[in-house]
Amino acid sequence: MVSSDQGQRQEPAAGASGGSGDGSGCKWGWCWQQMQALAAGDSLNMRSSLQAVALWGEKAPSHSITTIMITDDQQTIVTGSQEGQLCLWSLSPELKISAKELLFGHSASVICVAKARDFSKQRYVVSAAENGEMCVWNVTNGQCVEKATLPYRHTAICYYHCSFRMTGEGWLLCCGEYQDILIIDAKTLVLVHTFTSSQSPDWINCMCIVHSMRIQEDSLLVVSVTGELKVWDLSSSINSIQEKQDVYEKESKFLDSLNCRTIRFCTYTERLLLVVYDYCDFSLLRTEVSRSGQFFAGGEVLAAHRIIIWTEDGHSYIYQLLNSGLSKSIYPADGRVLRETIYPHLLCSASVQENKSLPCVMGYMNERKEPFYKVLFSGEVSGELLCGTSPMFLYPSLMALLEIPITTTWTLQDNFDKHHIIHKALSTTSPGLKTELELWWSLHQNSLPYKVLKGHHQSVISLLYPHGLSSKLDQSWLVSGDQDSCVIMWDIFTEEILHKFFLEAGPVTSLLMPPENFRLRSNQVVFCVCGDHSVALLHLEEKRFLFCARKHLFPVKVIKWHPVENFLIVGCADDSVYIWEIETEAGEAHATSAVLTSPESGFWLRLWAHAAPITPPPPPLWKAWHLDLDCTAPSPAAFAEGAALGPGRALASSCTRIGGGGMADPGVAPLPLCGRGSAGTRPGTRPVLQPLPLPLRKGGAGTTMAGLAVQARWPHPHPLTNILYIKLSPDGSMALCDKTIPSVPEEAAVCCAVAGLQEAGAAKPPRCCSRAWKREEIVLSSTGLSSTFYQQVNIATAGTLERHETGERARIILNCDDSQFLKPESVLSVASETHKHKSVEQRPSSSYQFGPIPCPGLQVESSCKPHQRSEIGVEDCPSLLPASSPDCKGVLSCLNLEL
Amino acid sequence: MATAMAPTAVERAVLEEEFRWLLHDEVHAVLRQLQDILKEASLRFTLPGSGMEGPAKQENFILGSSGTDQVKGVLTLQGDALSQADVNLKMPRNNQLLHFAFREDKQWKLQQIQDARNHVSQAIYLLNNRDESYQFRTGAEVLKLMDAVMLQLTRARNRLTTPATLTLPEIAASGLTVSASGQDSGSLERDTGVPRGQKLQIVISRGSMSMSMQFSEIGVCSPLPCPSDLLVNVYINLNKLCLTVYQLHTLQPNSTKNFRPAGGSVLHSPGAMFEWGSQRLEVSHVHKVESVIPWLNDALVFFTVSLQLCQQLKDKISVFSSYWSYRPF
Repeated sequence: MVSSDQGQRQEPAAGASGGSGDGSGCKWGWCWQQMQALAAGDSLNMRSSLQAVALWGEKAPSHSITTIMITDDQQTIVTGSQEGQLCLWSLSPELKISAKELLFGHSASVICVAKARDFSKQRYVVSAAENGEMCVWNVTNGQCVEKATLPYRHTAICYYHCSFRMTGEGWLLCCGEYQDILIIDAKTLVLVHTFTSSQSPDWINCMCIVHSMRIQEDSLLVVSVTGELKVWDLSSSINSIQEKQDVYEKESKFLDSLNCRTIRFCTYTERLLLVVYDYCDFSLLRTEVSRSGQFFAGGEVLAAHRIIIWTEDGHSYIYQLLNSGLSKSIYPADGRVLRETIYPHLLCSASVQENKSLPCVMGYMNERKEPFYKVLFSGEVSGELLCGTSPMFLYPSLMALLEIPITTTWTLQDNFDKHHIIHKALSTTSPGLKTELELWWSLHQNSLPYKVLKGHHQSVISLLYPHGLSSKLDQSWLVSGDQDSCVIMWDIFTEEILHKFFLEAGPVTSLLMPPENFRLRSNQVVFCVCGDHSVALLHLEEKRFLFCARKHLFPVKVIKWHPVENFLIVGCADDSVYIWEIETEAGEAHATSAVLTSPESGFWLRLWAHAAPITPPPPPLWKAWHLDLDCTAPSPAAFAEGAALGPGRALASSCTRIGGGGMADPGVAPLPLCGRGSAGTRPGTRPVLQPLPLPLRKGGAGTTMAGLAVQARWPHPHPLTNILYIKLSPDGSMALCDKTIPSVPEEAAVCCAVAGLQEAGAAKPPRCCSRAWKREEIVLSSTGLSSTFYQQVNIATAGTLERHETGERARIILNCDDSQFLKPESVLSVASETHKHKSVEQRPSSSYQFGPIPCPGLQVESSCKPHQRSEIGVEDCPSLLPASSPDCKGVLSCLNLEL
Repeated sequence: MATAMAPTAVERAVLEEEFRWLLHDEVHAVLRQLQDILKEASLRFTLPGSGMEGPAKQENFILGSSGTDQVKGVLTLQGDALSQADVNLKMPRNNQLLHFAFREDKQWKLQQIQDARNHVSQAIYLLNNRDESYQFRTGAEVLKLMDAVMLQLTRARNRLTTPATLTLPEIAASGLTVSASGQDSGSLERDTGVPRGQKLQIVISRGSMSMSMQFSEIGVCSPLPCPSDLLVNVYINLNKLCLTVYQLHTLQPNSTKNFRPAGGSVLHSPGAMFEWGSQRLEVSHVHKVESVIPWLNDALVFFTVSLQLCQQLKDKISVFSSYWSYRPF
């Protein structure tokens, strides 16, 4: 039943992409295990050497078709979905469709699919996703042959190969949300070159390749979003492309219409171009206004003077162009446009769905070779696929309105319906348990063997096993949250309900625990991310609901904890960050919030580790499975401790180490992330409900926090916009990453330098990093070592740090010499001028909301000249030091791992 | 415990009624509102060829900076392109005044504005496809539409709020290179014999400009110590039009300075080095001036408001999901 693919690469990201679209009512499960015989259920393969994905259940996964194509041999229809999967449908000679394979791999919505090779040799297609991923797939076996992520979003791809002039596998000509045309190597997916336009470069909406027999030249026809039609020579510019010379368009003409959807060349007469807009068509010669409420979406030339047009809502029309006999040039480049007398004559129409108006994508395959059909196919948002043949050849003379018969429809659900064996539950074992206890979770309280925990009235969508995260916690506890905002704390040994929390805040999409170093209440708290964008805090031991942080306007995407302070840092889907300070006083926990950022004011914190999105709410079984396998896909547990940093498990552990120190040394007042007039006060004495000022407003970037996971990001015209990541690993190595391409978040973090300290015999992790005042140097040092490492790194930050190793005392020298970049309205912008050579402590700290707070043991002094260094002494500061002084423009990001 | 119970039949009927109202009336109301807002936003971006004949209107922006007044100038924005520039740069060392301007026939496209504009029109296109006559049948359909719209809006916003981080060679290759205005105006200087206030022009080309057109080369006749070449970068940051002028000087090959090319950044600091051709150059001074573009501010506010509207609509739909967890709502 199940055939496991021998793919070449593993795709862990696929795990995240697989969540079915809506969290509710999902009745399909999937599993990555080495394929055990799941004789029941329909199994679809994952292209991966080790893992295959089996899908089973009563309900097919949702597959909202966004793009559709048919292979040249007319045997396979490929669809891409909003959920990020591709589906291969086999099309039999009798025009029967059946879903063959579901290809996982993209982590975002698929925008377009296109063929990627000469199909007679290799049956490859290429797909491009919303996030810039491109994959080349072997249609025959569903393998992913090549994968690349480029910072471009393509909306259309055309394959071009010229066998006698080109080496390699040909090019993919791509257009999309960028200027002009990109040429990508079809084999390696490497950007080869671009076609550039000299006249008004803009995004390209659609394109087509024209092979004209008459002029013996291949051309690329494109229409830009502003309605400019451009022509590039293809075959004659191959050499200049390969030599990376600029190739400009040969012709360009302004069409008087926006939003062109499709452009097609009539290969029969080689004289006509079909340009389809969303509201009219038949460019130049004749425009035809679509019926009200319908938008033309595409079209194709059927035969000479015969075209087919389809609309957004799934209707298609075949027109006969009645030529008046006047012969016209295809596209008078000289502007001599004769008014044509071509009348489109509606011959035939088809509606793919009766009385339905779901948006769909359509395509048309026009093959002249027998026994191929002319196939019109359409994929619908609901995942339905249908196809029909055009009757046009049968009745060429019949000018009556004909219905195009729809021969086949098929949905993924049909495949699932074929197999009626239903898995209502999925067995999971919790690996954190010492006993080999197996828990069976059932979706709807179906009784099943092993332990059954009954108590939820709605689907369970989140699970947390606290002991697995922190050994201090009771082994028997298990926390689960359901759709109905109910969180239950279980004793899994007795199957007892220890407590039920009713949060009244929407579905509990995620349950998280702060890392062990978080100070609050000896780590007995659980954070619940709820459907109404709030974050609720529960105390397990006391079985108490502490508070609910409710101000977030957008779904919570990521949560981090400040290791020392009781700060909860919440990142939302709109890139804003909320910092909540959790105050504990007299047994009460309050949360105060300050919206740290809003896009209008132009700054926000960027959370580094957002590799583990919480949305969409994963289906229940999926979660249960996490508990089981604890691998590949980012689990909530991993998420909670920041381990979702890809290879950064090491980071997570270093993070723990930091926090451990913070916990162990209560005598040192934690360094406030920010503050206002309450410098130096101990946590207990601070006023409750103290709003956090905006500490990083004028500050710089580079804050590392919670295990180096958080990075400030500044859209300000500020040198610090450059994001600098510093990764410290327990093995003593340290890496500085410089993020250069803003549109590709994580992948683009280019490692600038890695310094290992082992060479000098340092067994300890680097204690701190800083930059020397010579600007191009970074100083890495480790306490206990007299030697200092100099690793040259470019950091395009204005505030530079320097650190010297003087015995036991570490010093960081902050060098601010960017006073000319200070913004006029910034409150303390003059600081680095007026307060030159003064230390922070000498400044009024309470007069301004944004005033800096002198951190205990931290002195900041700014100076305008590199040689007049100011110093920050770091004295036994136990932990992460995210000190930000707004005036200094450079946030100190130093980590002290020496505990 | 009542809260945890499944809704009763009556409750369910009421809920379904409400959900129907939401799908049929409320969604369209919100969509109309969104359309209005985004139309308003797109009006801020003048679209070439959008019915209006004639060139887009020109707006002048006076550049200024808080700290120094070494750079002053006026940039003229025409739609998404800079059509004119008139920038004065006072050299820090000798107070020599440099003036530079665009060549009359050239424009500089502000990619960020163009992209933001295109993203907005994509969002409007998505919304236009669902007019009053369209019947939403499932909540998931609305959610998907909202996701698509929000994606475009977020990108439009991010495009304006996040300028590209460029390396110095990229800036140099981007085509906005300051070079001497050519032989003719060079001779003009010689004729006038006025060394102060050298005439410069920004010559825009698409990457073909070579740095060999060095200031120092043509300035041989100038008695003044010649400034090295200049690099100029223009970008949008939030609602501001920013102009950065980098003054460069050539690093001597025998220099003891440790050469280390700078990485990408929106704004490079003095001391950043890079290699261009066979030459090694170092940024000696950086001047940055900016000017607020009021309509960009409006557009950003519109983006944020529409994003919130979208999210609110999504939330309204999602409320029902907890009631109907048995089927896709």
